[in-house]
Order: sequence, then structure tokens, then C-alpha cells
Amino acid sequence: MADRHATMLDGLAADMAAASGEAVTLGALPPVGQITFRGEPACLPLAAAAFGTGVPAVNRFESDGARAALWLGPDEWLLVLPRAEVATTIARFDMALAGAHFAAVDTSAGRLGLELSGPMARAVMEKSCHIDLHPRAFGPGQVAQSTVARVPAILLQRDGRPTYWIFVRPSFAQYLARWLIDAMAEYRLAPIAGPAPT
Amino acid sequence: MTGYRLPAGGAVDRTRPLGFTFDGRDRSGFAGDTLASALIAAGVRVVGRSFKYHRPRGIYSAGPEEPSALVQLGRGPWSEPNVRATQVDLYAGLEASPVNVWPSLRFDAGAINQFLSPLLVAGFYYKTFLGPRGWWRRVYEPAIRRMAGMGKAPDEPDPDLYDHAHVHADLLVVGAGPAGLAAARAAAAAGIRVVLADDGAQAGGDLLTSSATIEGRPGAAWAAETAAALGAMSDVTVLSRTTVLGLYDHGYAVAVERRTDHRPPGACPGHARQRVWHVRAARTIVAAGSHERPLLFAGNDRPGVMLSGAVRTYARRFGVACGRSPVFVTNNDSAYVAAIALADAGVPPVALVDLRPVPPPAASKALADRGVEILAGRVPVAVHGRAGVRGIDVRALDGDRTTGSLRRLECDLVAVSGGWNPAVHLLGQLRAGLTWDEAHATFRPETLPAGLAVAGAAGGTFSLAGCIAAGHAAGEDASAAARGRGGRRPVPATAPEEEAETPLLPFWGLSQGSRGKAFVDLQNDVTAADIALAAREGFHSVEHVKRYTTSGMGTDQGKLGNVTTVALLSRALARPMGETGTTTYRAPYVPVAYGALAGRHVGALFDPERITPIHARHVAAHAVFENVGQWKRPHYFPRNAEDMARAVERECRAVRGAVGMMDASTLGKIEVRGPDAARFLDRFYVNPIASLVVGACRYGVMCREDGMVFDDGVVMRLAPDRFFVTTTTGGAARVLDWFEEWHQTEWPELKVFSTSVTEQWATVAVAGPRSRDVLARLMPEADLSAAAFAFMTFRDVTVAGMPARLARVSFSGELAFEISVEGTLGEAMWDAVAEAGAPFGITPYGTEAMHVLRAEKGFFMVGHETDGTVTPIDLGLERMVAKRKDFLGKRSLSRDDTARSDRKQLVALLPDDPGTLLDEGAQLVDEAVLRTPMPMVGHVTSSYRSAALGRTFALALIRNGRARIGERVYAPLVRPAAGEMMVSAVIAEPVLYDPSGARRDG
Repeated sequence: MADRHATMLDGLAADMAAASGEAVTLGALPPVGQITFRGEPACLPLAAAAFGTGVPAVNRFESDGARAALWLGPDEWLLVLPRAEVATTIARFDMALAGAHFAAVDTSAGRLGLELSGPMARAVMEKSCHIDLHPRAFGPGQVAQSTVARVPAILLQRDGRPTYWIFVRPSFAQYLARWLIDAMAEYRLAPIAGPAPT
Repeated sequence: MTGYRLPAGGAVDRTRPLGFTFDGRDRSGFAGDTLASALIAAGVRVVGRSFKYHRPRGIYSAGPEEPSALVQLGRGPWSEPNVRATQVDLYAGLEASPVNVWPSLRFDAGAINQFLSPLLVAGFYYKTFLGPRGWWRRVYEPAIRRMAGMGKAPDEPDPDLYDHAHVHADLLVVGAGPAGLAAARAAAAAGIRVVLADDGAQAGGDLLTSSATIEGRPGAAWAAETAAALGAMSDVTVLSRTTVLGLYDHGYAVAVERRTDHRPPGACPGHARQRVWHVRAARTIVAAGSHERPLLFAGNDRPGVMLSGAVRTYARRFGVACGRSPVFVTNNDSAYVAAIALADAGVPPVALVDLRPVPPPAASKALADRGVEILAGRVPVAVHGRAGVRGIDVRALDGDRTTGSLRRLECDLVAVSGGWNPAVHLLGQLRAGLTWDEAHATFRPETLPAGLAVAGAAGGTFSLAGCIAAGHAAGEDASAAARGRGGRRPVPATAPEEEAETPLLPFWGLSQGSRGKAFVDLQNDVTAADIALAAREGFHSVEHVKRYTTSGMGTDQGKLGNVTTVALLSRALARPMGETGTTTYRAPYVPVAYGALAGRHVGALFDPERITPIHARHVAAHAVFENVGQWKRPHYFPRNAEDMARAVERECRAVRGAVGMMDASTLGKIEVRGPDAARFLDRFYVNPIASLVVGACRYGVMCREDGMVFDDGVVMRLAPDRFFVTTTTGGAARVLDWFEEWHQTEWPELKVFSTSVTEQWATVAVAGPRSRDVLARLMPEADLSAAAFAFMTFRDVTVAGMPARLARVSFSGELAFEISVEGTLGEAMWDAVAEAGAPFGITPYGTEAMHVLRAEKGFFMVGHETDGTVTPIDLGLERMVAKRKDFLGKRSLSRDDTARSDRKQLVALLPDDPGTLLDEGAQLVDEAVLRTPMPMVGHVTSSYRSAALGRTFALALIRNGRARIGERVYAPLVRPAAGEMMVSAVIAEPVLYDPSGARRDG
């Protein structure tokens, strides 16, 4: 059967591409599998091993390239992985963590990811988000939960370009994408002419 | 000299003339001018009329404290009222006009108020316009508003963009004058993150007009080079044209950056006109400088009377002479510097009048060397010239009286200096302690909250070398606090050496020997006599005097007059200044546009909107949407030219008669897992949950601790240790928080985890007698009979080839199914249901039809029938409330008040006229004739027209309602056409449709 899945950002792909430029680019992440993992502290190392990454430290993520474990709370991670591996991964937890108290819930449709990248990506984020994203305070490997343009979001930084991934509830995704497109617009314009030179 | 433009000097670009208009006349200035400097250069003396007396007024200052030169800037949608001409950078084509003038600037009819002024004393509107009753609102207030109003707000939408930005720093420096630059440079050298905000177009503050040198460079050049070097550092943010509006606790500051205001309107499409900066800094240094204080004498508001520092600024920075024959009047040394600057610019002052008997030796010699007469120990007693100064009279000063003979000085400019007030406004907002500084006759900061420092003139340090040293030290302190090091660079050296200050002579006006008005607050036309009158009338608190006289209540917030007000009040009450104190400082420091505060949260981006995965289908079906929290839900789906009532009636008939479909994806969903999940949920719901078998659903209600209904929904048991909980659309987040709060704080021993899965699932509700037929087409192999698939059960199945959770629940009373699929399949499932239902006329229905259908069945709705004061028993759910288990709120249900039998209870209402619709929220009474007061016995919670019942009906909460079935109550309503009316209605059992429940199995 043809893929009948659709995301809320499908219709905005062209708008996001049109808004992107040298200064900053915006796009939807390809749909990924997501598992909301909650577990008692004792089972976390086992869970990370079963998942295939390290145990994420507070406000950081651990990734092996294909999979990432995002720290959301002392007993809560968001696991990001290929869509096709969600069921087998949950099954692996059931085996590896038998007897432990945990909950691994498939939330693959629970959030959509946006990627914002480029030299002005931080400036766009600073128009949208209260938290300190200066390289001294936030860098690659870090995760934060905050609001972006008043939308609850999980934010992580992938690299120093910088590249941010923003995970939001799909219901908010169009609003947030439109907000970011709007916030990016000035970086495609000629700068404001300066004051009368004196 | 051409007009008032000096032949040389100033930082304007004389090769770039810029045309502009003021009051309809073409004028010309240069690039680098402000509107104010260009107006002065063009010889414009009168720029507006005062607020109350409509006296002609000229430009008074050169900065944000300007009280008089308020203009209407731009036209059409770009028109902006009450802009200070001193703060407007000139651009080609600028259009400005005066405010508060009628019919014209030169002839103002309101000037008659000057002759009525004995009636217009402090508090006149409290005293004069007392009767007849109703006249204030209908006659006096509109007339006064017309007379006293200032600029006009534009009535078109603002075409400009505004946005916000957040920046974090170790240090915020407010002001890029000598102190601020020294502070920022010292701090940045240690490598900490610095934000430097300055309201000028160029950094430098007072250095832009100073003749001093710093580190061997001219002051302005040193400032420009220092700011450029700071701007080039990666961890320093230099914000010019940026005014800090407010300082708040924990290092939070709000500033507004004027990004395109120096360019013509509309010249920078796509760029934000203004940006509001939210700065969060570990430490803040306020180096906001100081404001010069006027001197009090009769006629001190006439056009041509200006602050002496402003006169110097216009001469040195803009190459503009504010007059051709100036007289300086001062009680301190600073006017000497200005007078020398003017003399050196080729405009020798007629005289310098120093109130002090002994002038400063070096400065007066320098002035005398330039041929300027110094009149020591004199004071102005009169100003000649109404629309422009023509001369002043001076006499010898003896205390607060005058002696000796009158001397007239012919002049066209009176440059005054009454001393300098540190700009303590931002410090005051944070409740810094201010103390009266006797030597400078002003308030200066004494105690500062942690993390806040002050440097330079804002702290009462007025010498250049002192400002630089204080700024440098404050910057080093900040870097040491942030990094643990500092003191790496020497203090920048200044030259020439400054003369030691000759003490200022405090002067608060003459007690006698002077006629005419001496103004304290130029913008609000408050005179020294008004303050004295207020004191005589018993106003002792400076806060009361401010409000009674309106001193300091204009758009300038009394930046010039407040200290004088305090001084006059203190003198009138014979008490020390410090005891009188200041009024409260509040943000914003200068006026700010509402558009800037709103930022990009306007129009389509006003507030986040939540839409379901099926939203595009609803848009295509021309749905009218309703806000449910942040969700956009289809309210109804009008076809052709249907109005709402017809569309809802059609949708209801479809569900009752055939089949309808609804997007139920917005319902909150929580997966609760763990060995203690059943025990956990049992503690929340009023009805038993633990007894639920796997594969079954149960409707449940939750209360808060007070026993009042909080949320409701369906609980499904997925496995012995797994439950799937639905909540109301608006309640999803608070129910999850409620679960987490109790788990984390009270019951950490329970092994349970709650996970939000609201958006993991999209849900299509299929309701109506033909719904089973629709499902049968989607899953032909399944047995969907009532026997095989019972009401209130669910199963995980494949529907139209998609994995789905199918539940037999009903919110309409009809046979109904809810199909839930992964969110990304929502649209595909909607399409599949629509296609399968087409032969049965399946009809999409919205929230309004859903409400009608549920109300016909007497199903309450959280937020409609409940308002935080309604118990489950009030709603008629006493049979649901568990007797044997405990749950949150249970004990509260046995309180005297919650257990009494005559509480307001849920019933239905049937209006006697079946066509009359009761208003939701209408109060209900027992008597047919309205009287005041009369006891209210309840209120209408939901009211609809029912196609199934062929009449209107309502749900209501009525005192002791269940015992009153069949009785009549009355709703006093007001209708636009019919006026006041009483609608009678009969109380009925809440379930009006299919009370036996026979329809739910189809």
C-alpha cells in the first residue's frame, strides 16, 4: 500500500525552502521514530545499553548517529530512532528490562522535528526563545525544554554551525514553521542603510 | 552665518542637505541633524502650544527629557503622535506638524486659557466642574479632552514590523557616555559577555559635545573608536539607538531599539522598525548620565529659553546656534563651559548671569577673555517676548528676594542651568535608595540592590575624569565578579585638567518681586504657584501633589521638573528635601509604542494555533472554526449559504437519522503504565477503575480535593498494567500535571508512569444509526454486532488497512464508534470514513452539533455545566460515586455545604414558548414579575435548538432542582428588538432524548 502517512509540515516544505538562504535554512526533519521512555533510575544504564547509546547526562543527548537519547527529566528520555525500529526496540526493552519498572511508549507521531541551521540560526532562535543559546551556555550535544514562539518545544543543538533541531507537537508545527519563516526573512534582505555618515 | 547654522563645526554632513516639512512649510537640514537641530537651524522658534494654557513653546532640550517640542510625525498609517523632536533623526522628506494647536500654530484659540488661568489652578477640574449631574461625562470631559489633547493616534493599522529578541550577558551597561564606555571596555577586556545599550545614534553621550581629550584623542573620536572596538568583539553586543525602558529583578532589563526610524517611513521593507530587547544580565551598570535642571523664574517657558547644555550640544554637535545674542543664566559652573563653546563658535554671549555672588575663577576669566560680561549675584525677574525671547530683566539676588535696580539685557536666547539631576530613573525602578545631595541640590543613588552598580553622572559624579574612573572601576568590578579577575588595564587619562567645582547655589524661585508664571513642569503647565497652592490645601505627600497638580504626569514624566517639585513642596512645608522624597519611578523610561510591545505576535502569528492532522480537510469543507483553548476545532460545516442554526440542525439530523463523522483528535490522551496503574487511577476517579477488565472502557469523573468536578473522560484498560485515559480537550495538560503532582509529591511509592499521547493518535468519531454499516464497509470481515462488540468495549483492529483502536463509546446517545489511528494517518482515515459513509449520506459535524446532541442526552460538559463549584452529586452522578473506595475529593463531599440537599442541581429547562432560546448564563428566578432585588435560584448553563425535540431546550443548575421537576422558573432577558422580557420555562429531567438508552446499540 502506498504510504498514507502525512505530516502537518508536508504543505509547508516549499515555503520553508523558499525562506532558506545562506544565512539560515529551515526544513522539516524526515519523520523519525520516537519512544517516550520513562524508567526507574536503576534501569537506566540497562535501557541505554539496550537502546545502543550511552546514558544521557542532564540536559544533553547521546547519539550513535542513527539513534539519539534525549534527557528530558530524571526518569524521562525521548528516544529518536528510525521509524521501522520502534517496535523492535520496544520489544528489546521488554526483554532487557524485564522486572524493572519502566514505560516505553511509541510516540512517533507525538512530535515533529524542524531543523534550523546556519550562521544566523542563533539570531532566529533568539527572536523566538528565552533561553541562553550563546556558545558558552549551549552547544552541540545539549538539549533544552522551553518554549519557542510560545510553543512548547524540545530543542537540541547538533553542531556548531549552529544547527538546531526543534521537536514540537504536530498541532503546533505549522504555527512554529510560519513563525520561523517570518523571523528568518530579514536575513535575506539588504541590511538597513546606516545613519548619515558623519 | 546662514539662518542659525554656524559656518563650521558640528558632526552634520553639510554636503548632504535633506528637505523636510514642518507645519506644512518646506525646510532643509543636513544629514546628521535631528528634527530639533534642523528646526532651530531653520529659525523655527515656536514648535507647539502648551497643554493647558496653550502658551507658545519652543525646543527646550536636546535629549529624551524634552517637554515641549512634541510633534506629530509622518502621515496616514505612519502618523505617530507626541514624538520628541530632539529624538528624531532627520531624513529626506520627513513630515512633522505641531500638536495641541487649533486652528494654527501661530494663532491658537486655546491661548485664551492664559487669561482664564486663575480658574485653571491645580486641581481645577476637581473643583470647577462639579455640576449639574451628568455634565462631567457629557460636556466637561469631552471639551477638556479636546482642549488638552495632544497628538492624534493614527486610525489605520500600523504598517511597520516590530519584533523581540532575547540576549543573555554577564554585564549590561546602560549608556555609552564616558562612564558607560569605560565600564564596558574594562569589562570586555576580561572576556566577559557584555551588552552595551545607548539611546543615541552614536556612542559618546556628553563626549559628543565635549572639547576634552581621552587617551590623547578628541572625546567624540575616542568614543567612536571605543564603541567600534567593542562592537568587533564576539562577546560584546553594542546596541545604539536603544533605550533601556525598565530594569527588573534578577538582572532582567527591557530595551527598545529604533532600527529604521532614521529612514523614511516604508524605506526598509521587511526589517523590523523597532526591536524590543529582553536582556538577562548577571550584573547591570547604569551609566545613564544626568538631566540638566531648569531655573525657576517668571517666563521661563518662553520660546528661546533653553537648557544651557542643550545650547552647547546644538552648537558643537550640530553646528547650530540657538540664538544670535544669547544670555546664560546659571547657579553652577556648567553654563560657563557652554558659554565658552558658543563664544568660540562665533556667537559671543551678551552676558552670563550667575546667581552666585562669587563665580568660578578660571572659567569666568576664560569667559571674560572672550569679552563676555559676567553678572554675578543676579537673577532674572522677567522675560520679554511672547513668541520668542527679546530680552530679560535681571536684579540683584538676596536669598529668595531681589534688590537693587532692574537691568534689561537684550537677547534672543536665554540658556539656563539650574544644576544637574542624575538620571536615577532606572535605579529607582529597582528601589535603589536615593539620598538628597546638598552640594548638587539633587537626589543621587546611595544604596543599590545586589548586582546593580551606577557610574558617572547617574551616580552624582560630574567631572569627566571622575566619570571615566567610576565607569572603569565598575567595569572591573563586574568582570572580577564574573571571572574572578580584573584590574588589567589603566584608567583612560583625560585632558585638560578640570577646574575644581565652585559650589552650586540652590535656587527654587523668588518668593516675591517677580510677576508672571514660573513653570515647574512645562509639558503639563504646572507652575511654582500650583505646587504652593497644593501644599496650602493640605497635600503633603509628593505622590499626592504629583497627582493633584499633574506635575510630572506628562509624556516626559517630569524628567526636568520633578526635583523642583520636591524642592518647592519641601520649602512650602518647611521640611528637608530628603524627607519629602521622590515619586515612584516606574517603567517605561520613555514612551514606547504598543506595536513594539506586541512584536510579531500580531495577525496570523498572534498566538500559537493548534490544528489536528485532519485540519486541511475541514478547511476544504469550508468549516467555520471555534477556539477551544489554542485548538481550532470545526464549529460547524455550512453548506451553500446556510447560517449556523441551519447547518447545526442539518448536522444533528444526520447523526440522529443516519450517520455523522467528527474529528475528535483534540481530546487529551494519557497512557498510564505500571504495576500500580490501577490503584493510582482509582485514587483520582470518583468511580471504580481498578475493576475495569482488559478490553473495556469506562466513563470516569475526577474531582479536586474540594470535591468539585475537575475533568472527565473515558478510561480504557489496555492490559493489566496499562490504561489509556482520555481527558477533555482543554484539560489534557492540567490532568497530566495533576497526575504527576500527586505521584511525585504524595504517592512516590506507586510504580506508575504517565505519558502524554494526545497527538500520537488522531480520532474519527462515527455516530448515528448507520455507523455500523459504515464500519462494516471499512472492515468487512469483522463482526460488529452489539453482541460481539459490546457498548463500552474497544479492540485493536485494522480499519481500511490501517492499524487502529476501535472503541464503542457514544457522546450523542446514538450507536457510535471512535476510530483512533496514529496521528500521521488521521487524514487517510478521515478520507476512508468519508468514502465508506458516502452511500449513507455521512455528514461531517462540528462542535456545536456535538453540544446539542450531548445536551439532548443530558450529558454535562466540563466548563459548561461545571465551574469549579459543582460536585458530581450536583450533576446527578451520585450512583457513580464510589462508596467503598477513597478518591481525591471524597471527604469534601460529606462537608455540610456539599452534602446539603438543596444545592444547585443539573436539570433541563423547556421554555413555554418552544421557539424561544434562553441565553446561556441567564439567571433564573421564581417570580414572573421583575423586582429589584429578587432571589436568584439558578442559571442556564447550555441552551440549544433541538431538531430531534422540535423545540428549544436548555440545561440549568437550579437550587433543589431535582425536587422541582415540572415547576416553572423565569429568566429575565434583554433582547435588542424586544427590550426586557421574562421567559418562562418548565423544569424537566435532564435526559430529554431517548431516556431508555435504546439507541446506543443501533
